[in-house]
Amino acid sequence: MEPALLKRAYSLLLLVWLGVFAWKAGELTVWTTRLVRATESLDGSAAALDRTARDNAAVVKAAKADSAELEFLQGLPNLLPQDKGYLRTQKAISEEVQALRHKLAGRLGGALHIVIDAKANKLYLKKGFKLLWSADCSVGRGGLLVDKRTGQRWQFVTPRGEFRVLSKAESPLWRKPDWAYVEEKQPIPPPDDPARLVQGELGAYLLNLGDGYLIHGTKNEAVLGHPASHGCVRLGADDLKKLYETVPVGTRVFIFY
Amino acid sequence: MNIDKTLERCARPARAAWVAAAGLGVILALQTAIVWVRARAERRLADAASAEEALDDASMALSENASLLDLRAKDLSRFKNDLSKLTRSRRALYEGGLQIQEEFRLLQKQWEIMTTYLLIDEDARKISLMRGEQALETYAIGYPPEAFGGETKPPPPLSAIVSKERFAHPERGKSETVDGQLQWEPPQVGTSVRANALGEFVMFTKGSLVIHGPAKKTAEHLAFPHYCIGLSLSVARRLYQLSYMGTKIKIVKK
Repeated sequence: MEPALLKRAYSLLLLVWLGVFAWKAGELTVWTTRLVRATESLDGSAAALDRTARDNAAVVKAAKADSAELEFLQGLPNLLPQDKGYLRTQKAISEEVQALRHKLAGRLGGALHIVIDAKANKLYLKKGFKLLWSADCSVGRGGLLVDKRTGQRWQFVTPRGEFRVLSKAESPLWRKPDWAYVEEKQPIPPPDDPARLVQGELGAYLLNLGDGYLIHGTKNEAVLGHPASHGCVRLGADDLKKLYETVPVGTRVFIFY
Repeated sequence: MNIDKTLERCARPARAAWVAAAGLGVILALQTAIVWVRARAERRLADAASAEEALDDASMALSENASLLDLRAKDLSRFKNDLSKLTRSRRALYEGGLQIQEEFRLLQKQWEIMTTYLLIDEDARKISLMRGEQALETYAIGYPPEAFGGETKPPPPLSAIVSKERFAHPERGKSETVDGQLQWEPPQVGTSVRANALGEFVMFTKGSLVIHGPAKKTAEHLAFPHYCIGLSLSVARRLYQLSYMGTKIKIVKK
């Protein structure tokens, strides 16, 4: 072959090769770009998927917490009676209360009176059937005290029954009874010994119920609501003041167990 | 660079084969790279499409869950509001019930105190614990109200218990001033006429009647001025326990 012709053929072949090379290089570039984009897209989607999954988990957790709270709250009202039987019983008791009120109306009228529940250690002030207020009190703690020297015995019980407020006093002196000395294991002084008079032991006021029983104050208000006295009825200072100022002499007092 | 010279050098038969092989090799390498990259790119694209789809599903699920959470939160909020009202209402009901029961207890006990009385039937020689017209308990008495210790004033037909002593107290005792000092001997139960006469479970009435258990010493019982109905210890104990301060005592005879 002539050199000129050969040269042309080589040139043509080179051009063909260059064309193929350029085509393939372009194709490679295109796919490489696609690969890069696909990788970026995949990374983005994976990150978004991760975020969404976390959000979803948080939402599910919150929903579970709400469900648990709802379930707990739905259980709460069941602490209180729900059945209609409770209401029927209440209605029956209410009717009995009405019947009792009717029976007692003539005996009590609308008068002010004190009721002491010695079992519950509560004092109620009532006007007729209306409860004005109630307070914790302390009644006789029970038990027996024996003085071996004289043979005397005392039972520290608040008696049940109907009393009246016979008198009232402010800043009362306590004439210490024999049992107080026996309890303290001290010799009993004569009845009219001035040493028997103690100031401040009975609180600021007293209401005398007769037969040695009083409504008075206490130095230890923490035990109100529990039987703690030697037979008297102890009240807190504020309630005692209120009672002293409210009830006149002659007021009826009912004490029961 | 002189292209003509380069072409000439390449066209030499010895080198032509190498050049052609090199050219073909380059093209083949390119083709291999293309195939490899294309395969990876297609796989990545497929993965990306799947991931996109999964993301769509997850987003939809998240949206649904968020809506459900919102509904649940509203439910919870509404329930809490209703619960507050419901609890207040139930509490009122419960406290109302307690108040009724408390009042029932107070009225019932007051009614018992007011309507309980002791009925002494002289002819039948019985004492009954009465509530209204009903005898709750009836016991025999030793004798109808009888005077002791020179008591002259008979008990009235209607009286009431004014004082109760679980153990009859001895007399109070008197103090004396000796050399300017108060002196006294505390009362002794063993030598007390009062304590020995009345014994235990003593109920004093407004009148001369004293209801009590057996005397500790008969002679002192005979000497103590009062009216008595001769109760046994068990009956005296029972009546002491069941009666109240203020309990009325009715004495009946034909």
